[in-house]
Amino acid sequence: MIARLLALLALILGATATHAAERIVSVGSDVTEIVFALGEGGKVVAVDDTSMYPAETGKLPKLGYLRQLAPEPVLAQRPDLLLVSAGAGPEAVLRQLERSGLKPVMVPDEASAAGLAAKIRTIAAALGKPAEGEKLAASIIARLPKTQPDKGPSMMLVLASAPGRIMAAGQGTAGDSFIRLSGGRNSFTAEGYKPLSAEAAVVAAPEVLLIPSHVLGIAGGLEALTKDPVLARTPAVRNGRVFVVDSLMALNFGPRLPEAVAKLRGGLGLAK
Amino acid sequence: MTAAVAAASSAPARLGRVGRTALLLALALFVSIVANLRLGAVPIEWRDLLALIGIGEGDPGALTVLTGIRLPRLLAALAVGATLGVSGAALQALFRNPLAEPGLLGVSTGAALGAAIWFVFGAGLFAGLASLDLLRPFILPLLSFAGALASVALVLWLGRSGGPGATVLMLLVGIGVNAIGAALIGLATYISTDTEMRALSMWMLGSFAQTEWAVLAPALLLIALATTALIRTHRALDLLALGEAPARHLGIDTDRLRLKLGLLTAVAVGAAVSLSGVIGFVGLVVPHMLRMAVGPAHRALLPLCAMGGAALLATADLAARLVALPAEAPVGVIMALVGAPVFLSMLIRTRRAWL
Repeated sequence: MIARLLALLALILGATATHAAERIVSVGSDVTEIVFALGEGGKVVAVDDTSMYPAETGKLPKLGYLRQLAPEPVLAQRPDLLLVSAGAGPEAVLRQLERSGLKPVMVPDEASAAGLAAKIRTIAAALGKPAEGEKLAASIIARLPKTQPDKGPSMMLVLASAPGRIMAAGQGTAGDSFIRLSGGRNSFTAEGYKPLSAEAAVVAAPEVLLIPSHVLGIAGGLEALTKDPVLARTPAVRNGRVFVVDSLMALNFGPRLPEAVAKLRGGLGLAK
Repeated sequence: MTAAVAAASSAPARLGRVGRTALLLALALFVSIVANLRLGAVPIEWRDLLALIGIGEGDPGALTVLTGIRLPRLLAALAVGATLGVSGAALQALFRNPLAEPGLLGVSTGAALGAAIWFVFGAGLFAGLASLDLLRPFILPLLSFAGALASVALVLWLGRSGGPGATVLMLLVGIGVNAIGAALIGLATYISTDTEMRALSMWMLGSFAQTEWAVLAPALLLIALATTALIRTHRALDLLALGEAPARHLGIDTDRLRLKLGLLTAVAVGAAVSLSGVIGFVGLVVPHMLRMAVGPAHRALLPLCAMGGAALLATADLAARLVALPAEAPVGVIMALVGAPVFLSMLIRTRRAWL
């Protein structure tokens, strides 16, 4: 509900920003990817630490972690458009930026196909390219598979906060949304990201295990992860059905979501 | 006993050291203030600084950044540093323990619990309040302030005894209350989403980036009142150095003093933490360094701790703003990374005195 209101607000704000922006600061990996996908990447002057795709972002100044922004680094870039993921903060800093004469455009961050379309529309409106936004949103929705809910293989997406400390993506998480969009069933029924116990792993019994790529480094590699005593009890590990998914592509709900879904479905031998 | 007597008997000799230290700190404070206003991500020129004090004209954009962002941030760092320095020194005197700091009374844990309530349940609990733009900036500072006060009040109430072991009892009660607070924060973290957890852990690292005038003004008032009152307890703190029983014989109501210091610390540090999040170490390192410089007499020590804490934290915040450009580093981390080695080197140089 709040996300929708924000989206609406952002649409109104975006619509009033009629003259095209020349210096864009983009905060949020999904936001940055959408700006580049809409062909306005050349105008981006700075991004947050999470914006790592496309490769051009590597040359841009990084303004820090998106939930720990500071006002001056943003103002020092002299942006005329500030696109901010709704997950960014602290909110007091956003208020300071507003008082300093910037109008941050808040981009909703709901992890779903409809949420992705809302993000694209908000950003396209702020860039003064609403038609291109509709086109991009429609093409992304069209490329997502038409899956029947609760019919596919049972899956689990796991993270590791340290070697041997496994967390699983429960209901309402981006990982959960990704599993559903890929045509799977999320076998982990808790709410949010929760530590995974050996017993919970046995009860969940996922046929497919998904590992976001950034977790490999933390967990000490794929081999260490599959030897983890908790995960070793799952059918997925016993049958070798463990898939690494690109963290940004699959979990930030940006324009590359259909590719991430297609890649996983290809790996599972499902129809694209 | 010897320390207090020594302080009293060699008063003229100490005065010189106090004066020199005060001068040095005033100079450090001035340099830090000017550097803080002049340096940062947004370029500010000398003429902008002069315009700030009414001389000539500056760039309007630069002045907006100066008055809207850099000045409130600097004031917050100065006030929080002064508070942590003074309350650290006062609590070390009260508990007659060099390790004492506001965290012992549960100030930081209580404040963090208040913040956790906001970050994890805020959207649901305060939906009505939070939708009002006017009130929204105050909810998080108020909750962390209330958390700090509640936690200290609990420690003071459960730890009241009136007997000779009162101080030790209060320290132990503090450990217990801190453990409950930490467990509740853990619980909130467990049921939080990824986003909420990140927001909370960032808050706990401490930062002045989010300082707003609306929140700063009332916090400054509370800090000024409580810190001044703390400094005025200097005579009682000196007598307490003789031991609790001798202090009582000399007319100090130690139970009342304990309550008073506890409450004043709670108000001052609670307001400070609500501005910056948790910042450790200042309350420990500043009083110890200054005690080495000017001796243990609190009449000079407490005001010097205010100056030293302010200069130290403002400088740490300047470093936090500059070392990671174009981004920023958390000031709490800078504080410990730079402050701890300095503290250790001072301890090692004076190791003989501790034998």
